[in-house]
Amino acid sequence: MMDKRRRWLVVWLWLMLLILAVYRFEWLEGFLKQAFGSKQVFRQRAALPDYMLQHLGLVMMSTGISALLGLALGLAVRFRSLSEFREPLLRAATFLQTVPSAAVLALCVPLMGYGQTPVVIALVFYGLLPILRNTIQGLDAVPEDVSLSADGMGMTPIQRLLRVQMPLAWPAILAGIRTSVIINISAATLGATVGAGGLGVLIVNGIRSMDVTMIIKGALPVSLLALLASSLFTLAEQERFRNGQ
Amino acid sequence: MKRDSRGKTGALGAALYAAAVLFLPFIRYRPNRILTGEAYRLSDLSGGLPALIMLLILSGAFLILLIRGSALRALFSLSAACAPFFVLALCSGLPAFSGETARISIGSGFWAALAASLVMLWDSGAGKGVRWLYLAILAAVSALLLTGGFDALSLLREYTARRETFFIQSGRHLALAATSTAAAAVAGIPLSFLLFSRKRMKRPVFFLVNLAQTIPTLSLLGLLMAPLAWLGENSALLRGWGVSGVGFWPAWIALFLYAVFPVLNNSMAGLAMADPTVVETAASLGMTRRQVFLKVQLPLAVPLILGGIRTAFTQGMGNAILAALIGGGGLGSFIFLGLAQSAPDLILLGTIPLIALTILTDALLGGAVKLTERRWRHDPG
Amino acid sequence: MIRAEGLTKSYGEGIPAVRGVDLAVPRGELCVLLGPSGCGKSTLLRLINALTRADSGTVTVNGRDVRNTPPELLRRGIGYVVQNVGLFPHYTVRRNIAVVPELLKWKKPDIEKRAAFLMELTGLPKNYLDKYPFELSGGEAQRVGVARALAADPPILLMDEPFGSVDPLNRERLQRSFLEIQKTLKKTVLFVTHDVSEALIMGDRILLMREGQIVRSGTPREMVFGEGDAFSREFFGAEMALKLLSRYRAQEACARAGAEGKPGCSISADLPLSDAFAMMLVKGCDRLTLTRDGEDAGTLDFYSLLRFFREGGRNDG
Repeated sequence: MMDKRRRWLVVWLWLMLLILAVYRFEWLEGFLKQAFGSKQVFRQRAALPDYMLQHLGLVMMSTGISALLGLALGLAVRFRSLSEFREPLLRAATFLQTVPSAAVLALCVPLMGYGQTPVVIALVFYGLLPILRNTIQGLDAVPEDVSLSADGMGMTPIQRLLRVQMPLAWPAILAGIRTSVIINISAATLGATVGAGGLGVLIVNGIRSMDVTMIIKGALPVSLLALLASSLFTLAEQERFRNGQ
Repeated sequence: MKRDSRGKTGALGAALYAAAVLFLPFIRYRPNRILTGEAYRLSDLSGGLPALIMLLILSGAFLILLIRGSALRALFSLSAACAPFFVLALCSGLPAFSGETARISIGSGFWAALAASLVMLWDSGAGKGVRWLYLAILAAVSALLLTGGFDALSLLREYTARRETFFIQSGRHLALAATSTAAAAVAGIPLSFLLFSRKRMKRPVFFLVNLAQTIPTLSLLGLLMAPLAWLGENSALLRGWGVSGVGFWPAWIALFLYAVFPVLNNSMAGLAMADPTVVETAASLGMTRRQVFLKVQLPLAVPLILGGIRTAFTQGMGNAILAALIGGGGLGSFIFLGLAQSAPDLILLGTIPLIALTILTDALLGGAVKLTERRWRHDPG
Repeated sequence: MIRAEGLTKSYGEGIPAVRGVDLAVPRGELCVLLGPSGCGKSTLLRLINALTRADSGTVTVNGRDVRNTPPELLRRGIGYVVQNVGLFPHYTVRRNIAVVPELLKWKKPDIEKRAAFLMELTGLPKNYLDKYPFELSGGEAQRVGVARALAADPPILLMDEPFGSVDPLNRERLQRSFLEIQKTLKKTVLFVTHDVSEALIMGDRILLMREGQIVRSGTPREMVFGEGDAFSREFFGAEMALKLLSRYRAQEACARAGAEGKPGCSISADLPLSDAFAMMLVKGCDRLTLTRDGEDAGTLDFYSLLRFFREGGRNDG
């Protein structure tokens, strides 16, 4: 119980800091400008909250599609007729992950051009592996006698899937989604270089013009976002533990 | 684990291959840098030879659907994988595409066909045999490369134009990844020993390292630049050492921090690997804690420690791309230059060697890990 | 109640698991399928509730061919207990028991009542309903498994080595508990085991299986005392007679009332006959006084024990 309260506190901490960083950056700005000089070569085209929302949108859309795709594929390869694709699928997804995210994103350009859509597509494929692998492994880990008795008691295959196998596999799947989200938050910052917007724009342009204030303006919220996401998932995991797993 | 292969993967690969060859553009041709250029499918190209070759391969691809013998399938997959390279060389040599300023880029059809052929290859290869097939493809491609078959390609032209820089940056990239990983190993391995015996320190250290891992790479890079820039500006001594907001140092420190976690994690897992009963037995025989550590736990941990170093290095190769953004050099400079100039071939010039190097070094380190596994493991189980 | 004719099932490569098996289990009987591992007894069981499809032959449950019933509906009317129980780890005991009733759309209060009844029946405290499987011991989990199988009051129970993964002491307890339950509920049970003692204790009838066929069948006494081939004798050797003893209570073999035993030779009347016999051997008594609730309940002497055993008791065929 004590642990659960601590998790909630951590979540609130990151959330508060994030909101401050995005909506009250000017509090920090003064100090930074004093410490690092106030040249501002890059003119911000939009307000900080807008970049934040852009970033969030990129991450949520790509993770959402990744999750649906990963779950669907993970479930699909359980059918006997499709079980052959399990290995190739896992291998392909693993290979995609070994290629660095920057390279994957950069490769989008020749193929699909600049902008948000190519980045989302790239992120979907890049973040697919954790979810796919965890779905497959999670469902595999359901003890055989549990699935057998579900059948023996007269559940239809769908009932068995929804009532028994998925709930038992869910912690693993959730862990996969968590990894995917963290990866995507990071990769989305690079999306700025390919025209997708997001907080990466501030970081990259800040780096280019050596404007430390600008860099921190982008780096701080995105770091806090990642920490917030991570703590939210930790919280979700703890909740599940009550089911006696 | 016995691979369950009923040929469906191969069939899928063959179908994708056919679709890629027939419908996707194989080559993009621009008379000079400024014009947008046109995409050419193989069917569009006059001068029958490329089309003929591809037709042959296509029929081979369909034969894969029917043939059961795995050796034949492997052979066809091999030719299917090599064919795009040969045809590419052929196409780039066609008279229609000649010209000093002409730019011949690789189209999506090439990549798709290549990927599809790898799927076919994987399906037809039988375990160990696959590695030889990959080597054969590698050999064929290298042969083409060295004999100048690809010289007309815009990609190669970019390379020739920047040959010196290319090797310098590649070297820098490797150096960045290697040195930061080495430092992480030097720092991380003893740290893991310490944490292993003093469990209480585990939490704060892990928390910090975890923090660094969660924060996106680019933003960590950015966050490091601030204090380093300040240090560089306000301290002549440090400036003399090259400490500043840009360049080598921020990138190196960021890479170092990222590399620590895999090393630490794997190292601790490795130490924990020693069977508690074995440890107890050793202790009951009269070995001191130190002896137990050196003779039992450490040897068993070595493969995992090396595995951690391998992971750290592979990740470092990827992270080092970003070094280019802050002036640290590396293959990333080509990538970002290409992105800025909207020059896809420049991007490829950075990406392809990077992927190749990463796969190569990862495989080498993986081999090293396997070697230690075989030698240090006391039980075959 | 359960009939099978000419059942055959092979698992690829022509290895037959079940070969031309005929089977008939009347209502209320506890029929044991006994045999070494790989003899096809588990497969035979799974053919009954359509978890496996037969290559040839028919299975009728309650007169209806199992092929004509949707498998899910069939199985909701058959209780099924497996060796590792297969309790759902993410459900409480209550929810585990409620699975089939919920599938059959029972009303909540009915389910609650039924769950409480089953807990009592299987000898588990009421508060266990809110526990999770990982909190239970092996024996307790098995009891929940039995309760779960009985939840929707199915007429038939299929049990596949249900007590196999429990230690011997608990196994005995579970066997006795189940026999008590069976006395009350009188279900039609098909019970698979490889343990001869278990078969002798549990079964009204035993079917000995070997390599996919039923090679011998009979009541426990018939199997022990009757003639059999070498294979059968491996299972029902002479020492199994001793196991058969534990099927009966000491009271049942008692010939006459009144206490005549020597001092120190007394035993509770409700203990198994095997315990009585053991006491005779250990204490050197040829006569035991049976007691119940501190009162004398009769005398058991060695020869009446022998005669009872050879000639049959009241509850035996």
